[in-house]
Amino acid sequence: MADATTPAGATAMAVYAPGGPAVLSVIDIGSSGVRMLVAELKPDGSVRVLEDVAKPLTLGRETFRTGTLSAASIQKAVNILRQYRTMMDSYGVTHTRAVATSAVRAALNRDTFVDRVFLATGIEVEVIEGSQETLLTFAAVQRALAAQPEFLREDSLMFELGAGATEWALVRGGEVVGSVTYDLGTLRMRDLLRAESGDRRAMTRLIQHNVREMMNAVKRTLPFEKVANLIAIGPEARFAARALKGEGELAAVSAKDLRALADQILAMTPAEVAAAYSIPTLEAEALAPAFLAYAELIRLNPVDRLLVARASIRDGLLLQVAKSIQSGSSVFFPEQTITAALNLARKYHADERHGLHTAALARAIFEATQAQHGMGETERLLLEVASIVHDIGNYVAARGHHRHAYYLLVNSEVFGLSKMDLEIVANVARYHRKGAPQSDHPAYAALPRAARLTVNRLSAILRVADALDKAHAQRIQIPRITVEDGELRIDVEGSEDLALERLTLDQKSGLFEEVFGLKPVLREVS
Amino acid sequence: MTDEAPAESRYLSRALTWLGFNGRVLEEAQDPTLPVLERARFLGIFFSNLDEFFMIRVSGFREAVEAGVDRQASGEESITAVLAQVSQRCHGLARVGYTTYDREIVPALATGGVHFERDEELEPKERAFLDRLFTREILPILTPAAAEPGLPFPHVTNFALCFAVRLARPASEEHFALVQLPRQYTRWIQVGSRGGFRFMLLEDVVRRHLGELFPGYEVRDSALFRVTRDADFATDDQEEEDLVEAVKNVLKQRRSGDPVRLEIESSASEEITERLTAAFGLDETSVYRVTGPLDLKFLIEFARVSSLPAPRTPAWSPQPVPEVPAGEAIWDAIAERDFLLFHPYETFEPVLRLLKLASQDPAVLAIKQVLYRTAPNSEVIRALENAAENGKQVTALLELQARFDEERNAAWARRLEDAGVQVLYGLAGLKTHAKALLIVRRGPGGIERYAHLGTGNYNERTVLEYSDLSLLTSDEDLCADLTAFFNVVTGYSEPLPWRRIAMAPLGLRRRFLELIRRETEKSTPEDPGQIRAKMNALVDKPIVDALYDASAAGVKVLLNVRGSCVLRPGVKGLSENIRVVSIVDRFLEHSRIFEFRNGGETETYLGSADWMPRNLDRRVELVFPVVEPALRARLGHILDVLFADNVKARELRSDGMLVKRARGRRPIRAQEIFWDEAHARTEGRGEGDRSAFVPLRSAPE
Repeated sequence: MADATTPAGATAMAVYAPGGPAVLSVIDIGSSGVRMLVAELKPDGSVRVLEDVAKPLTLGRETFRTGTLSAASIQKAVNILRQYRTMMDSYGVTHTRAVATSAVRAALNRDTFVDRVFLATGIEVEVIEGSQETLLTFAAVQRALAAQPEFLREDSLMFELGAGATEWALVRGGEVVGSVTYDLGTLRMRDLLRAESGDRRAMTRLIQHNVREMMNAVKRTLPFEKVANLIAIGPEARFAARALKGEGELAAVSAKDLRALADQILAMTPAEVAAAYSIPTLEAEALAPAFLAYAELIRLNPVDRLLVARASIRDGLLLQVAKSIQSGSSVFFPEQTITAALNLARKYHADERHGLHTAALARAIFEATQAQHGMGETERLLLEVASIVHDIGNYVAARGHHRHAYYLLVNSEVFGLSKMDLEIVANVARYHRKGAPQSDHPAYAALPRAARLTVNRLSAILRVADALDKAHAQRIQIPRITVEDGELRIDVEGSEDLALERLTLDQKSGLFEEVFGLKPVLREVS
Repeated sequence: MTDEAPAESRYLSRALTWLGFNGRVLEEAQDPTLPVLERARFLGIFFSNLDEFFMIRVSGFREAVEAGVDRQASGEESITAVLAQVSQRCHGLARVGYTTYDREIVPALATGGVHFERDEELEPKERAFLDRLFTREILPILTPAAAEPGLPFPHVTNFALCFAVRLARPASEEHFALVQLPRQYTRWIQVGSRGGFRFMLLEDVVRRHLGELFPGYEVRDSALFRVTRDADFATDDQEEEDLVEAVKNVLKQRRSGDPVRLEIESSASEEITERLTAAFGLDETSVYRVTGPLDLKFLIEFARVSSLPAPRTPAWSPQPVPEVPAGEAIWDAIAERDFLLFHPYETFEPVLRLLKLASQDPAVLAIKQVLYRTAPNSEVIRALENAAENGKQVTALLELQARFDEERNAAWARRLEDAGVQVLYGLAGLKTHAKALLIVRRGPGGIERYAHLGTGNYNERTVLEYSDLSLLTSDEDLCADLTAFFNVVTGYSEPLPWRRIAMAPLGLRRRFLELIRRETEKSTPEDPGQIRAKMNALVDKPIVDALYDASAAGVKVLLNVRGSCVLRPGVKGLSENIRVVSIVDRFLEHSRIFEFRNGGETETYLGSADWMPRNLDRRVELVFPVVEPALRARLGHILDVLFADNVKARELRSDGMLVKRARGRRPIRAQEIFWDEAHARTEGRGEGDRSAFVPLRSAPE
């Protein structure tokens, strides 16, 4: 309860009544601004936004041109985040998540940025990947779409034309089945436009050319022929929806209107646009190129209109924090991540059934040894992904395929996984056979301690699971697994000859014994 | 003289319509059916308004002319021409004002037992009393200043009463001196109660003793005068300055601005008058020879003296609002539904109570408020101070530019800062005129937000004299917008799209234009649109043009504009569907209401903004919708009554003149009806039953 005796002049502190709804905050440090939502998590799981704040800060312009963030920009970010911190404290925020996207991600001194912010404000900033951005926004969009089943029946392409890059995701049956990042953003388009200095037709041609190339690349990567819906997210799209009086969670805008709007914007200077629509100049500059690009995308796909989703990355972050408070898990769409992993496995012609079966076996071991390792849902997902893709190195060569898997993975994107997640997955795949993790392996040694521990545990489990499907024939169905008397007892029903599996298990269980102090034993029961 | 603008002119003169409004105030002072003290108050208001007009408006014209700026834009008369008309009107009005004082107010006051005496009417005993008073209290604070050739003319403060004195000494040339009356000293001094309340004005007490200030000299001749100076545009409040951009290079400080008007006693000698006009650099048209006491503004305060025996208007004290529960139950009540308060018919008490409760409630986290003009010794300030001392996060946006209030505001600011309040001093280049209060509280079910949005200032005094509206609400969208609004004005956030409100200078005009355009587009001959709006002034040309378009599309436009109005109503082919009325009554009409028929789904907005470039471009203003159907209906009723008024309302003719409206079968006086209604509700008559309202027989055409 409140302390009514707080002396005058004391810092105003929140009166936090335990038991009330949790108050959370999410912060998004983007290319053109720092934004925060403060929200309340209601007992029914719904989220009520209490504060929605944004401060312009053009980190993107700096990073994309110079490669680093200047001390002045870092200081500005710190000042903004200090204010946000005050606001968070005034509500007694209990859970927070702060992420930085492309501008910080691309900066060579991103670690300095993260450290400075933490020291000055106590806010831990997580630099997230493009695929995670898309995932978060998609999470929010998906929630918004939940009430519209027609979107479950048809394929949709969702994209965000960002300042530095464009993120794409293919949505099939309500799930993300693939995602890709393409290096074309409004900043680059604007620079292209500047070079054409006002020739509207030349500009349009240039943008159309670039957008066409992007679309071709997207089609090469994502498995689709034609989509029914094109869903745009991001501030420019939302601006267009507002200006064209689009309404609702998904506002429809036509190519014709987008081109007219672009013309209208191009007739003004960015400063005039900024003044007329009360938006930052940087955002104003991005509008016309974005609208022309949207119009071209409508034409190329072809669809009759663009749907603009109102949701933002912050909405997704909020859902994620809410989810982690409620269920202890912050994993979004594990199914989509698994799907993405399977796509990757297919791309490199790995044995899909072996991968899936290994994953099922690994999950069973993971769950049986929960008390020993204490790991959570995120790690389990990483284990499953690693299980599915552990053999993709065979695409390069069977010899040393575990090492090939490592570099194929770290150079891939798996929807929903961060760079660090992918590093762990790649290491786990790397250690699914041959030598155990060693501190003189550079890629392993470069991991933070916690990640190394995860790699040890997960690769130990993966080795056992892989051994159980040595024949790649799924002969051992999901067994009963128990921990007893220092043993991991794997009880298999049936009469199959398990000599091969037993032999392999003996060879590959050393790491497991080392890590868990349990000896895996394969037992036949009837 | 004529007030007629050229027939082809699209717009009325803003200055002339404003003078029409002030003439209307003067009309109240002349109304023999009103009690004399009420008439005296109106006369004081009339002169006070005129002072302000000279300081802001006339000086603006002069500067424009001097700076060589003249509006030759379409539909405008030249400034020089308007200035000539303005000058003529001002002389005329001032003359009528003084005639009213001499022939009507003074005799009526005397009948009521209140007398302003001249020296010769005093008894020796009374004179002796005044002599002692002068020596003891007044003489020590008088400082004569010599005006000698070759030296700079002594500075005379804006609006100060001042004696010009010609002095002579044997065998010496003539001297000229000024004696400024102390502004802090009371203007009227009671001299006795023989035959009623008898007063002398300060200048008449001093006049008798002028000689004592100049020992060794003979007072040859003296006269009281008063000079009005050019104001600083930047502190302008009442009157907008569409010329600011053009003339900003010639801006002057208010205290040291150039003289624009000289008022002087008509008995003054030519020598004195010439000397002063030369010293102040004024021409004959700027000299006002006054037949009564200078500066009749004092009548406003004088009429407030409660002991006076003269007739006064019976008090219409603010009524409690039965639906708003007493004590702390107000929290739950506002959480449940919105409340509309109509001041001063209904009390402001719930707003103050909410603030006071918030300052003490342990569950309250934060209080945020915009304070534009606040009363001396304000309860509002005390509550905020208290809240900060109780550990709440308190944010107060003080508008220090509110004219004439700077010093007072600065003192509060310090007090609040000492208490731990986050005090913000407005936004660079913008005056914060919005009236908003937000309270954030942590309830058992989560964060609760309560808001007060209004059309009037948080000022316990003006809230008794101005007619304003308040909305108490916990509406999620409005509170979210208000949260965002405070984040914008405190610099925590850039503006993001609003859910419901509109804010100046960020798109408020655009919003109004959209609303007017929507009405225009929806209007059909079968189902014509309707816009009803009430405000203090209408001078924004884009909005006027949009209203002309609406009129052309058949939209019925009913405007209640108290003061300046550049919209020319009732002109065929331009504005035949537009009517403009102005109400001047005992309470200053101050609310802003905007109602759009919207094809039957009426939308009603309240706010702090007039349709003036100043409000839309250079001020922070808030306009918000009233969404609860019952409250919207009540606002509709308030507009019905306002437009039906045929007693205190005047209709603006297309030539810019205000004329009486045709009386219906019975007189309808809006303010009286509002008071009756408030009163009736308190007494339980017609509570919750709107049919108890006085039915209107003559609909607003």
